[in-house]
Amino acid sequence: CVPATVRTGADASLLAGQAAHEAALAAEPDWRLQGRLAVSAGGDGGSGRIDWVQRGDSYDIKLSAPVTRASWRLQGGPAQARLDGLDGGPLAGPDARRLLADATGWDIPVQALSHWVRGGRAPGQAHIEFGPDGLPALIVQQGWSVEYRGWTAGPSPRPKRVFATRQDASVRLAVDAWEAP
Amino acid sequence: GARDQLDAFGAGMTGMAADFEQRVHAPDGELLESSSGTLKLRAPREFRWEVVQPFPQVIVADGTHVWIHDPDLEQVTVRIQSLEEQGSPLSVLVDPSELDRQFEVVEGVQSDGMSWLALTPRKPEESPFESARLGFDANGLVVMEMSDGLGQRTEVRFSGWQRNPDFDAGTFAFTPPPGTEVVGEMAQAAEVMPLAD
Repeated sequence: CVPATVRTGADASLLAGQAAHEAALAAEPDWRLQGRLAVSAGGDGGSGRIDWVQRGDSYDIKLSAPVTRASWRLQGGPAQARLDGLDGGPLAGPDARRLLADATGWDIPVQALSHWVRGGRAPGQAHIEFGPDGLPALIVQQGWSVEYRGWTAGPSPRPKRVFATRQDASVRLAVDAWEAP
Repeated sequence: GARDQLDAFGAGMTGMAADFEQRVHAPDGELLESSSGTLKLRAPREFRWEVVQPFPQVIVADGTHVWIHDPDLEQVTVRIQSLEEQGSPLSVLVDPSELDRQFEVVEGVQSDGMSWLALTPRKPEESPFESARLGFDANGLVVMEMSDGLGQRTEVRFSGWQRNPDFDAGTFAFTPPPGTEVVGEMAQAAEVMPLAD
C-alpha cells in the first residue's frame, strides 16, 4: 500500500528547493507525457490513455478510451482552444476548460494542470506541503488539492501519479513516460 | 473467404480465450502505445479484456454492465452494457449474428497470408471508431484493426486461441475493490423479492 507521506510544512529550505525546481521547469517549456487519465465529476466520468504535448503556453492533448478507442483532442493556448473528435464535429472557444466541460462534462483545469503535472505550482497563491524526500506531497491552489504519489528518480524528478480533487470533481493522472516533444 | 472463416471460427463456440498484443499508431504512423494481456469471451454478452503490460487495467462486461478498472488511478468507470455493446467489434466474436446487424461487411482481398473482413458501422454516430478490419488465417482470427475519429489506428494481434475453455467462477463478474471511486451509470437493480422461507 502507499506509505503515508509525512507532510512537513513549507520551511525556507524546502521552499527554496521548490523554487529551484520550478525555475528548472520554466527552463524546459516544451515537454510531453504519455499515460492514463481518469476523471470524475458528480458521479459521472471516464478514463483513457492520454498523450499531452506542451510547447510553452500551448497544449495538444489527446485522450483515447480503452477498447472502443473513442477519442478526443484538445489543442490551443491561453486564449483559444479547439476540441476535435467528438460527435457533432470540432468545437472552438476562448477557454479550454469550459470547452471540454461543456462538451464532455469533464472538468480539467488545463492551464493550471500543465504546471501541477510536473510538480510545480501554477502562478498565483498556493499552499504547499512536502514529503520526506523534500518533493511536493500536496499543492492546494485554485480550490484544487493536488496530491503527488511517487516521483521518477534522477536529477529532475517528475511525478508518477497526480491526484487532483476539488469538491466532488477529481482528475487523476498516472504518467507512464516523460519525453521531449 | 474471410466470412466463412469468421463463421467457422465462431461455429460451436460458446466461449473463447486468447492472448493479445495491442499497438496504437498516430496518423503519421508513430507508435503511441503498446500493451499486452488476455481476452476472454463467453456468449452471448460477456467478455473480459485484461491489460497486463505495461500497466494493469481490467475491462469486464458482465451482461448488464461494462466495468473499466484502472487500479493505478483507483477508479472504476461503469456503463450500462447495452449502450456499450456496439462499441467494439469484440461483440462480433461472441455473437456473429451481430455482425450484419451492426456493420456493413465487405470481404477484403487476401493479403499477407490472411483474408480480411472490412467492417463499417451502420450507425457511425453511435460508434467511436470509423472503420475496422478483421484478419483471419487458417486457424482463426489473427488481427483486429480499428481507426478512430482522430485517425489513430489500433491494431490488436491475437494468439493462443482456446475454444470453449472452462472459465473460473467470477471471470465475468466485477466488484470494485475497497477505496476505489466508482463513476458512471448503473442500471437500476431489478426489484428482488426474497422467497418466503
